[in-house]
Amino acid sequence: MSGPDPFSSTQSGGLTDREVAQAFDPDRLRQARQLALKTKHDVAIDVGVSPAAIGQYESGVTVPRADLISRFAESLDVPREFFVTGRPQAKLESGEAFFRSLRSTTAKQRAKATAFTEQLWELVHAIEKHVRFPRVDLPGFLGGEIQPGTFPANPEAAARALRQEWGLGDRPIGHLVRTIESHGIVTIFAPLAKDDEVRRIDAFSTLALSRPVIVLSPDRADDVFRHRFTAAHELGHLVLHGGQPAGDIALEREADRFAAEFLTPKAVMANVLPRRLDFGRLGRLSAEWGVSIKSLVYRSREIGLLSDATARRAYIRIELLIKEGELVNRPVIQFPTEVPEMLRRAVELAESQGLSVTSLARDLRWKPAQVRKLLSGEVDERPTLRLV
Amino acid sequence: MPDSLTPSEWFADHFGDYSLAVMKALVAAGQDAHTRSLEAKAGSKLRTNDAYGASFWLVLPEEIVSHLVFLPGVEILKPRRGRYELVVFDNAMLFPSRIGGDSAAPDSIKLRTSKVRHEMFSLESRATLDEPLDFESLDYEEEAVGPRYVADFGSATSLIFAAYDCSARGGPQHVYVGDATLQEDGTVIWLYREELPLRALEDATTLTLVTDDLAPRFDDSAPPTTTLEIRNPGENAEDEELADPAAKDEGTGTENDERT
Repeated sequence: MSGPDPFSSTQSGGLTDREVAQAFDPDRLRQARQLALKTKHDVAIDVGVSPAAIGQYESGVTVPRADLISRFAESLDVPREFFVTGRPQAKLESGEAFFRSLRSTTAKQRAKATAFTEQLWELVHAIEKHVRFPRVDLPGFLGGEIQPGTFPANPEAAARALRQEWGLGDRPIGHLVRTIESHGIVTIFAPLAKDDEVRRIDAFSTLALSRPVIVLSPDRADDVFRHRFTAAHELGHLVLHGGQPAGDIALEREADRFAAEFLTPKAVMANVLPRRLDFGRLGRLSAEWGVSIKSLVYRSREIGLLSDATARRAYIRIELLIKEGELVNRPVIQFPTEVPEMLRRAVELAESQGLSVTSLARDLRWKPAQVRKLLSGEVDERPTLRLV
Repeated sequence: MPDSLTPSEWFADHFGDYSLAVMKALVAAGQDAHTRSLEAKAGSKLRTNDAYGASFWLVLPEEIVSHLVFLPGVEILKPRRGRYELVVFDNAMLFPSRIGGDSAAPDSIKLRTSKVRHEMFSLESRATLDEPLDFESLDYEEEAVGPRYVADFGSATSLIFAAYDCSARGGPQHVYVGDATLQEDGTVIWLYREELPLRALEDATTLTLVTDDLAPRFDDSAPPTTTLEIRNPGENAEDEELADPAAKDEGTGTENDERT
């Protein structure tokens, strides 16, 4: 953080609109607007100015009048103090984050996701003032990228290298999300999936901040096997694609290849996968390796154990079994070590030293509900007390 | 499980973990085909078994399909204008047929012949050929009218022959399953044959396909530990490795059970 913070916790409640306007941070308006999934036009209508004026406020060309501050706060559901400059802030471009459902997300949706990640970084930064997190144990990580040449460019070889680096051997990875967290990578459930407008976003990750971040959205397909593959896919982006602009479908395929090799190493799979369509055996391997039967069929075809035609029959059969309820999803919540917990645990630890969600929110100039939302991955659904 | 219910090597090779379920399904299909055919006979009020026989040849394949549809990746072939469907599982087509009378003994089975039947019994030798087959003459009872049509045997590259010795009076007596060839005169030569234990399979009310509670699970191992520590008063996070990558090695590190 640079310079003195003019808004210590004791002062934050007493700022006037004029004082907020005088210390107005243009980028906070942009961030809040993107998080609210609103266009400049939307905000302009809410506060009663022209869309061009909103653009000028966000670019810092002009400063909004004091009487607009409360209207901005109301329109974008943030405290008035949110717009005050002087707090540490991460700036993330949407090209610096990899989105799993690349083709189905819009620029607006990605903007919300990146704004969310910026806020997440602020939360992590605030918590790290009180709690020491694990060192980032990603070989070659330089606080924004992986040193070129650290990992092989080939996704499978990179997956094997990381397995070796993390001492995972050739065994099934029992607790993938916990393993990722234990190596200092911030992993979190995004509450985005409950938002109809951004529920298409499956997951995303970025290496552009001081800690690598993986954001998962389990609600989209609440199945632990898919969830684990998604987490491994995002890990693949961190290992393979630091510094490369996101948005290339080829990079998504590389991340898939990384995930498949990371979760089910070919050297082992070639010896354990059946050479004929044997759903009994595939089911047991699925449970043992924590991947879906469909993914194992895909792997079998990839390795050359099953023909394309047999794999197609298998997919059809799998879809039928799902429709008939014979194959059911396993909710992620039933697997505690696949649910991110590092941030929540860190706050619990800090609470023993007097930190609270409320004080965190005050430091961040957020509403406490927003802090809870990020920590729990849930939308704050507590009942609202209404005075009549 | 009685020994008679232990699937043979041949069954295990063709149906894997589903062997026992397939054995039971084949017996149940024969029993259900018999019951439905008896109802046809009763409905016809004929003293002879014509209605029974006329029903059985159509009902049996239908029951086979409905009892084996649970198999993963199963292929059901219904040739255009064909009279019944056939099951293909793991590249093997199952062809059921009723036997009886003089040809009821397993070594003296004689089927009516047709070009298609010969093709079916020669699937292995024609597996490399790319020649479509017509199903028009598949069943001798079918009226050979209308345009010719073509169909193939899907992914089938071999044939499993299931012979049902079944009569209106006695019901299913024997069910033989195995690999066979068909001679020009319709004589069936078994290359491998086994008889299903009808009574034992009928009594087996529940079959467990895959139950192995002790099978390993991906989350059996101990989870790794994520070490979090309260910072000392005055300690500044920004002095650490995150702000200065060169100082990374001075971090607290991570205790990971899976690394040791």
